[in-house]
Amino acid sequence: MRILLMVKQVPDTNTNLLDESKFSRKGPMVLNPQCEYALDAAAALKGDGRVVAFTMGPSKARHALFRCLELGADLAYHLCDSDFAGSDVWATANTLSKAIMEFEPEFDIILCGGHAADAETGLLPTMLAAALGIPVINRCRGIRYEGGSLIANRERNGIPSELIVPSKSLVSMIQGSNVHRLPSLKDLQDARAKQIKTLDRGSLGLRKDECGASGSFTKVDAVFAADHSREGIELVLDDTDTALDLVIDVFQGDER
Amino acid sequence: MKEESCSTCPSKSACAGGCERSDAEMAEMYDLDADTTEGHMVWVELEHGEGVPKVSEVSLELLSKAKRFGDQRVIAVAFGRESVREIAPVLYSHGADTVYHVRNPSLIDFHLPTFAHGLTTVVERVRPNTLLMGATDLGMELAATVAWQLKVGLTADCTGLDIERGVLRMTRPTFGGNLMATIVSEGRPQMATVRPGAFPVEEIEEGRRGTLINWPIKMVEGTVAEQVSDVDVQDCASEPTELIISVGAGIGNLRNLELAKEAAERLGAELACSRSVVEKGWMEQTSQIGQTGRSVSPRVYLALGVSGAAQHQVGMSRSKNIIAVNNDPEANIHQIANVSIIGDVGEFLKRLLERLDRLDRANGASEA
Ligand SMILES: Cc1cc2nc3c(=O)[nH]c(=O)nc-3n(C[C@H](O)[C@H](O)[C@H](O)COP(=O)(O)OP(=O)(O)OC[C@H]3O[C@@H](n4cnc5c(N)ncnc54)[C@H](O)[C@@H]3O)c2cc1C
Ligand SMILES: Nc1ncnc2c1ncn2[C@@H]1O[C@H](COP(=O)(O)O)[C@@H](O)[C@H]1O
Repeated sequence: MRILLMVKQVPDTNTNLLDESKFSRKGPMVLNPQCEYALDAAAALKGDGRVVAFTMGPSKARHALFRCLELGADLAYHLCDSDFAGSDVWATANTLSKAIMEFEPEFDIILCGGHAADAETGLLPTMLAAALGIPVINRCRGIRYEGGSLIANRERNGIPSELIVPSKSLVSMIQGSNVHRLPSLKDLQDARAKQIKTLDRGSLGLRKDECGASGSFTKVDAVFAADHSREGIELVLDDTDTALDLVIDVFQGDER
Repeated sequence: MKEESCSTCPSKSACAGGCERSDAEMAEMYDLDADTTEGHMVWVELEHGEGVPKVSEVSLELLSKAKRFGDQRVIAVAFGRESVREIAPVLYSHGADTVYHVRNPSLIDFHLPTFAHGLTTVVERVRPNTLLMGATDLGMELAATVAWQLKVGLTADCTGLDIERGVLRMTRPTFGGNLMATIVSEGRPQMATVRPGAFPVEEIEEGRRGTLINWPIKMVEGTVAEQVSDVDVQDCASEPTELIISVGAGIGNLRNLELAKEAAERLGAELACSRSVVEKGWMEQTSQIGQTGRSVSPRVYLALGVSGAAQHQVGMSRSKNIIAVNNDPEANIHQIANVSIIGDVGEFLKRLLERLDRLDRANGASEA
């Protein structure tokens, strides 16, 4: 199996993300949780094939690639150039597809996370598949070999089904196993021998207006803190009757 | 397209710099051919079963919203066989002025290559100013493919939409629901997927009329994954969950978890949980609500011993009624609850079950 793995580094959503009304990427960064699922699936499916990881992001996004190399990837590409900054999903799909066509056109499957925890559009996998002209299967909860074919468990519209994954297609994962797998000492040593190749705009043959902010069609106009708070009633449990009546009423359809 | 680009904004058109622009100026800046685009287009998602297909709720919400923009005509695009004609009146009454019926005798199930091609051809013909669809599993795939083909921007998962002089301002949650971002889009149509439930259906006008346009298309060759089996379809094709009881780490022990299970059964609710409970191995990951679990928006969400971390909130903050039981008055969950009960979960469950017993007895007595 020749597997390509698309990963993203994201801010740890436990930390404060708003810095003077701008996204802050200064805090701790982690490998996007759903990309962990894709990484895990890639390692499980690899057999005697190989896994190549790709990320597009700033220089510290290399850390996401280190984790991939420690946990099963054989080679990594880091798409890194200040001209890539500010990419929206269209520009990201365009840039990643160029890198794939140029450097790893021979593959059996591309694995992605379903959603990135930061921008969270969940659109990139489908758009990348459209850019490459290949079939896409989103919302997979598991993928395995069975009777010579690759079978994906997809849940779409709340309905699970098992699908035969066509060769040369893209699969995005919304669930998997073992999110916090720890690399062994040997994994860490092995990873040191592996290579990360850096690709910039020039090496992909992209014009300036085909990538980054100037190749993007959407623009963030304002960012503000979310406020989900509601007006509510506060009760203490000592006032049992009121509290329970209220709960049962609400359950039975008495709106408030 | 003009060659010059501005270094402070991503616009491809020449701009005078100093990008502090009003919406009207932005219309000029972002829109290369505003005068030739007109109308708000909505992709109508249909549930095909026996007989006449059913229009999904989010499509009706979007037609209603597009009508309330109030500035341009509303165009609905629906895919399917002959029976789709019969839903046109529903679309008109919710705001559609024109319905494009994209048809082909083999068109039943969602087939991404054909749907994307079909929608793209209608867009190229009509040249709408906006193109909206539900942020559903199918809507997302269709939107991403069409946006790629049309080479236009796409904003996902919007919860707010405003239009001013043709410029759509799209607001969406981001970073695990911690932040909101407002996004504008260059080029036309301005595309957005919109969260189900974000806008109400308003002003249904029974008997309102419109125009139906037939739009035959060819099926597009293109590999899609082949289905091996439906796993336990019966179990899952059920209605979306209306009542959820969700337990967090504050549930404390397995005995209380049993009580929660019993309460859920008796109230007809689904039992769900936070990630902490999955990490303890007390419940399955499939029951987890939140960023790395499921997103739900039931009529009632009863949170028992859940602190309300941002990653949990993102999966449940759209619930209609949120009831929180937590002994810490400062817990985040209380901020987003309509009913906050400050108290011990075990105690609450014990008394709730007693109360349900009493109600049952009273009902039994009155029926006898
Ligand atoms: C990348 C990432 C993704 C994540 N995804 C998710 C996700 O999808 N879903 C999710 O839920 N979490 C997720 N988390 C974890 C999240 O940050 C929180 O840690 C988790 O939601 C906390 O669960 P909890 O509320 O059950 O536990 P706690 O935060 O421990 O809260 C327990 C609450 O119970 C109350 N309590 C304690 N005892 C009692 C009692 N006797 N009676 C009443 N109340 C009591 C306490 O006051 C406290 O508020 C994610 C984290 C990360 C980093
Ligand atoms: N910059 C990027 N580099 C590599 N892969 C990406 C990038 N952005 C998104 N992806 C992939 O697309 C998935 C969904 O991302 P998104 O559409 O941004 O929510 C992620 O889980 C990754 O697998």
